[in-house]
Amino acid sequence: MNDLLIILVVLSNIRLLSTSRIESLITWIGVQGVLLGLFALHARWVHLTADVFVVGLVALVLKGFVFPWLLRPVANVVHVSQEVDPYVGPMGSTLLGMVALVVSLWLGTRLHIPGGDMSRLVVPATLFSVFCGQLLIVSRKKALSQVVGFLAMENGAFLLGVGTLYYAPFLVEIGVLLDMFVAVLIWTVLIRYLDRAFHHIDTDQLQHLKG
Amino acid sequence: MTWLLAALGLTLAGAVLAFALGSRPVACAWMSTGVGLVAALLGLWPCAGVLAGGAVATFHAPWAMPLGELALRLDALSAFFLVPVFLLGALTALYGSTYLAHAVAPKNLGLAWSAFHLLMASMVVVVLAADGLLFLVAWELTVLASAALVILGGDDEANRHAGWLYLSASHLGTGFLLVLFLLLGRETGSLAFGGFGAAAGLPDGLKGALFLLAVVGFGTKAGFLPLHVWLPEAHPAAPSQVSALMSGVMIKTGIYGLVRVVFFLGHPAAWWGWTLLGIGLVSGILGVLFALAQHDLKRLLAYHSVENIGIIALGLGLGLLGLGAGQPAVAALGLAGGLLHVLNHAVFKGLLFLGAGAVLAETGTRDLDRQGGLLKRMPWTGGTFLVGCLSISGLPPFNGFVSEFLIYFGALLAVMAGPLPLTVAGLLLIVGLSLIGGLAAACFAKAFSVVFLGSPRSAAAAAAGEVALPMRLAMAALALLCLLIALAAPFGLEMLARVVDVHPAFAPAGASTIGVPGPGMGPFVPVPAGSLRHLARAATPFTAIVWGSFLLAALVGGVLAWRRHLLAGREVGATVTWDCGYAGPTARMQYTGSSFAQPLVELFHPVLQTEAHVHGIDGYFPVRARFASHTGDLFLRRFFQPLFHGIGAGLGRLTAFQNGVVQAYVLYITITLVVLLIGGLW
Repeated sequence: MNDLLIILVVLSNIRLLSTSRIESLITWIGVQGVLLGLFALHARWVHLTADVFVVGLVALVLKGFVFPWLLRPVANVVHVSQEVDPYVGPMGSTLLGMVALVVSLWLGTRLHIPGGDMSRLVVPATLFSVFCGQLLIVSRKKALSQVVGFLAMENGAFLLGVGTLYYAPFLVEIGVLLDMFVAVLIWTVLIRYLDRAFHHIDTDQLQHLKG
Repeated sequence: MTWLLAALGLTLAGAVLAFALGSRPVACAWMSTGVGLVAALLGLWPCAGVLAGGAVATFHAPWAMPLGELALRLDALSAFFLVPVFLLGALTALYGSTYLAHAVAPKNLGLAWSAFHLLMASMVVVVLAADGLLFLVAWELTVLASAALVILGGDDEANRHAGWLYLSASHLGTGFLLVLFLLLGRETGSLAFGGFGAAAGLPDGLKGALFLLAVVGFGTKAGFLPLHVWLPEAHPAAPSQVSALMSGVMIKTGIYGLVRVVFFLGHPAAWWGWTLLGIGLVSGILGVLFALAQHDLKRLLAYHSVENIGIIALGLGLGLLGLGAGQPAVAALGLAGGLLHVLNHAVFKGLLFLGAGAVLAETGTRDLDRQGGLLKRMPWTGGTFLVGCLSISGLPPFNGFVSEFLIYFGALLAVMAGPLPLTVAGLLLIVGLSLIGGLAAACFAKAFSVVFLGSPRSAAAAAAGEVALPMRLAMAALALLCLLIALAAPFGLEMLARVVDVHPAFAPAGASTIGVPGPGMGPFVPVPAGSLRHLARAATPFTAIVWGSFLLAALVGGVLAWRRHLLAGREVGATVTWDCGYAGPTARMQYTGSSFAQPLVELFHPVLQTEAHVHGIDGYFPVRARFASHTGDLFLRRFFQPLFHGIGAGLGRLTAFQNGVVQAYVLYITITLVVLLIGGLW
């Protein structure tokens, strides 16, 4: 069951790479969030304590529902529905994603992390999520796509935290989730202002601000 | 050591007090003078003790600095370098009590005095430090304090430029020193000087690298050509009292560092000596040539500092060659000559810069060709300046002669007794040093005659008067020292030998005398151990010099008395100089500095590359004509400016990476991380 959830996370990452529609990006990062939340709860089901339960539940709610709910109105307000002219298109990104998957699997065999009784897929999946997030940030121009890329990277880190450590400090996990929440809030505001000031949210145009 | 710590504490307290008293210039000046004089008295006492054969003093204190230790050590070498620091520090403070207010904007006076004391304190620590980290910290403080003084020396673009150039050059040099000390520390286990002696046993290649690092790093401060470029900019820009201190003492901390490190490195390879000899010849000859072509009195003196540093390097180079070739007599004389020249140069160059400051204060310009006839108006300044000129030209009976004589003596021994390479080195040195001496004499003939002889070339020069008493006192004291050092030379050899004995090759092992076979297989006779055995050879000629000096003084006195006798009862007329029988002469018909030096400047044009701007008379009717010449620094223009321009252009291309595209920046980070990850897990 754990492995199934991890594979679904990986697939959702590929789905993120292969779309150019903002709406779809937001939907799928939400799906990924739900998957992660489920994974967090299920992976520790045997040792489930109150704090682990809280972390898993908060993650599920935040990542799965709150973030998409915050981001979707922004996409509507700024009238951006699609990446028109990304540096690397959906097709290219997907192919690069395949390369990244192979690299991640290889790195996963080399990288040994304590807590070995977890699934062997955790480390490659983590690396793959981080790579996918970075790929999204680097290859897309719209600020919203990059927010999603960042969330995907963070999801990778969350996967590692939940997947390898039974007793990850509650404060750390919950703190990171809180940070993420604040970050997404700020971004939604920032992107609205960006749109109001420049009438677009293309981050590549920001270089015109260079003195 | 207690006395020295007291001097140090007093100087630091002076720095704080001066800052606090900034709004009351008179109180600030007198407080500073007092601090300078008392600190010198406190500091010179233990130095004299160690030089007279006293025990080495040390001081340790814990310091909350990783790898560092607050360790001070006063041995003969430190004591020898501390003497000019304290002497010149006190006299320049005395001079500055009336001078500094002319040179620095009133609002900056407190700051300038504060930086002055800080410079003094940091130099004392540099010379005393027995720990690499402490040394570097003090070294940096020296740079910062003196750069502040250079910038405070005037309110214009030129000062800021000079300060900037000085800071950049010094920091480049310090970079080399950092590597030097880290390497030394790695190889010997700690940054404490006490352990650096173990560096003598390192492999030759590593020792050579350390030597080169020291030459570049310390040479930047000392002013070895072509690392001298900051000197002719910074010295004229600083207030004269600070120029005196910087040129007389501060650049010598570079020599101190070099000597200290070379002494750590033990037995030198032959090419070390050749390197220093080459640097000395180039610095000496080119330094004096560039000096010859200058119109700015302080700039001229600054180039002479390069020349004298060259002479010091010649002495040290000969010493290293002697050590390498197993000729202790040559080594002892060369090292002693170079080291003694450090002290001598501090005294006469300090004197000359103070004299230049007095001229600047009275006439308001450093331009040689706007001076003239000042000897009658400023007899004290003129007289002492003349003593400085004679000393720096290496003429007896003044101190410049004594140290150059030791170097010549060593070179002669090398020629007569040494193996072939040493003979060649000795010959080169003798030829080079003679050329330097001759050119220096020509240059100071120009400087002194244009400034002090003839008739005034400007209204300001005509209106000049003698400077205030503290300034005169400081100059007179230095002039007296020029003479005293030369006269005391036969008795000072023992002290000098103690300094040279710091080198492990000379260090006397226990006994102060050793036995050598007497003449004709006779019984053993005791002779002093260490370098004194070789230096003692110079005692006889030195004594002859002293007697010769008295003879010379009697002769000059006699001629003067005779002249007075002949002129008694006659009317003495006065007229302009160099009127050549022309009916309506003016002061502008006199030789200027440029015309005086023109034949020599022309001869060395390929090196100097003086630019002449001539607007001659080429029509039938008289028109306005003008002539101007300018000699820039060859190395700054042809070497450093193209070099840094090239570096700048090369780095400019890298800005393509900083393109402002967020995605690109993230990509850099990603690539770096992935490469590191894959590299780490390969």
